[in-house]
Amino acid sequence: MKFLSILKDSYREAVDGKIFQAMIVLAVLFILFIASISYRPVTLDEEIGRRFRIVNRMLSFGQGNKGATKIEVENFRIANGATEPWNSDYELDIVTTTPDEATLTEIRKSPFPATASSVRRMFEDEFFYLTNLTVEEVPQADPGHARIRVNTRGTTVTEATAWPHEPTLLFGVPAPIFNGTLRSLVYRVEQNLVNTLGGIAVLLVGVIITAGFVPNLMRKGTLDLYIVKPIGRTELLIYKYIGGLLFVFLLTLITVLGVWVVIGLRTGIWTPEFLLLIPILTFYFAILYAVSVLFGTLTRSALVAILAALIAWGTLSLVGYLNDQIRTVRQAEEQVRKMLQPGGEPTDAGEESALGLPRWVESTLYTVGRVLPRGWDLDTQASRTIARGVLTEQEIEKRKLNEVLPSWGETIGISLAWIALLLGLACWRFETRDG
Amino acid sequence: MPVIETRELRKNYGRMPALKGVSVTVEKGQIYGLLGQNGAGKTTLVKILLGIVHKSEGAAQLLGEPAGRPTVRRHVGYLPEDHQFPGYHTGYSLLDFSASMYGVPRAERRRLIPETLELVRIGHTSNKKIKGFSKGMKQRLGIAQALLHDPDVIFLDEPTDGVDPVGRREIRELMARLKDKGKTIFLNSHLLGEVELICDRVAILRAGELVREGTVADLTQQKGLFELRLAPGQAFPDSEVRKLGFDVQQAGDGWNVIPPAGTTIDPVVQLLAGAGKNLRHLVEKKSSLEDVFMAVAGGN
Repeated sequence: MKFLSILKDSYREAVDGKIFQAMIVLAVLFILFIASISYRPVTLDEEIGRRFRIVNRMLSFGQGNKGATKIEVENFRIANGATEPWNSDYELDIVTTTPDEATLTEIRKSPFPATASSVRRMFEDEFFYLTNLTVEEVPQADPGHARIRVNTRGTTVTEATAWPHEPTLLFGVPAPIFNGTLRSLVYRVEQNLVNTLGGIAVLLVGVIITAGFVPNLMRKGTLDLYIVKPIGRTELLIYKYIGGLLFVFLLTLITVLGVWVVIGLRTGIWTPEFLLLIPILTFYFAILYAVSVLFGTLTRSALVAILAALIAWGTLSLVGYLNDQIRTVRQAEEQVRKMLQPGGEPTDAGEESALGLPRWVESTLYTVGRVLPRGWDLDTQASRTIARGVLTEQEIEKRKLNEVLPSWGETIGISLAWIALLLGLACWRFETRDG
Repeated sequence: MPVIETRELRKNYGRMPALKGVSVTVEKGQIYGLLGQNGAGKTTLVKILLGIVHKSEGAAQLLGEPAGRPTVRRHVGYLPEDHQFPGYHTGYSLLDFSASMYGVPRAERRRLIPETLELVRIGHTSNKKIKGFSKGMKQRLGIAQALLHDPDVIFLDEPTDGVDPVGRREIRELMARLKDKGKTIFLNSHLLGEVELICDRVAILRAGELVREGTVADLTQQKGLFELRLAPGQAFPDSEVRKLGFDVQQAGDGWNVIPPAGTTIDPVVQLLAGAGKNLRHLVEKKSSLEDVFMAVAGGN
């Protein structure tokens, strides 16, 4: 009953400040924004046409010919009459038009798709999902023209989610710049909008909303009212801490669950892995809030508590980032060493590391990163979790999202130890202080 | 078993002593007043008893257990001085929070809260945010939260602070009713008249030391000073009285007589009767609590 009472008390405090309501409104607006994103499958001619518009713009800038040289798609048709673009067989001509033979020769020497081989390369690189590709040049009477005929039969794509889509924002603003497979678009929304942007917002607001809980409790004239109740001081502080966590949990729950539902409804992609963001973000906040509670207890100042939590956040991010870089370089160095000296012992690579830092600086940073709470690793784990839920193995590999990370056990264990230490210090101070 | 008992209780804030070996005993059903100037150590004593402040030395017991234990606090109500109730609460929600912390069941709280708000005459503020309360309303709410869970011991630190005269009287009456119900009240107050009116026993602290302790009657009695007056027109035989060894001083139309040590006023009464004097007024003079307080706590 006491726990619920303190929770209710914290709820009143947060609600009274209006920040919590503001955050709920913002979360709902955020969810509505994501719900406003439509995903339309693009046809092959649209996709090629979009690329050629860029190519033609480059050609006009490069040669100053004001559009005299251009590459276009002609005779585009779906040979098997399929309605879904990923079930279609395609036939099309890529026509290069130049003012004269000399210009065409120049263009053919460039990487632009004006020869059969460059067109093949383009299709193999960018439209790799089209199968049974045949490319042949059709002779042209005009020496300034080139026509490359392309035929494809079938695709590797078996479902709409792996086909390129164009997102439309706010129910009607096309954003072709973000075109990608439906899965990759969902990944971008979940990773960039929710995990990165939303995560920062949730943590920041969480730190601000909850920073006053402990200092307000310790205000002269208020503290007596709490600690005269039949409850231990440690119990009281821990309940306040859990109350703060529940706020962020609630905020994260509403945001992530809302986004998950609207993405599922909009795309048909339901990835339970995305929901793991709720405990991950809450746990990340638990680290920052433990810092906030300790400094709130020591100084009775909400401002100091906020600053301490933000500094801790920045430090963890910076050290985590540097550690990530060091780990990546070390893994690469190890791979190279194995290739060059199979079975050999590691050798001293010199005074400077691959990052350009002195070895001792790198070692110190690495050690510090290993013993500090693992905020960065949590964030990286969250990204990987989202990727595993929505992307295929090939896409994960292509985006290099499959490198070896520290284990969940290590990440959570070390962070939990820090939380326990910070809260332990806060409780000790609270227990021993007068009034 | 005393409800409150301290033995040689000491508290130092750094090098500054706040309590210098205070020993008090409060029995069940008493209203015990603690007096002292600002900084005398009154609030520190209460806070040690409630576990808000840690003692440096000595012993403090509340209801037979070491003071400050959460289990003991279940039976204690407390109105702190200069309290700041969280402004986000309403009168009702604050009492609901407070009572739930004491383990009062929900149904009981629903019944008790309106009753208690009415008891302290702020029933109309039930749904009003505390940040809009006047000082007097906050004080009444503070008393309500101290009483709601039906504690055995109630600590009231300046309960009438900010309350108008009518309200003060109501609070005094409330304390009397609580005493009748067997509750023990520990009262810190600057209002000496109030303490004199309601307290069974009083202690006076000066700079952390207990300088006087006893019943109000004990403290205010001026042993050995008698005020007497004769019938109009009769002369007081002061020289004969002095010959008996009494000290005599005229005070207005009467006389103050101080017997020598170990002697009663009886020889003077017999002398006056023998001399045919008609005694109209004879009383052993008492001082007010304020006089006593000023004499001992004020350093006079």
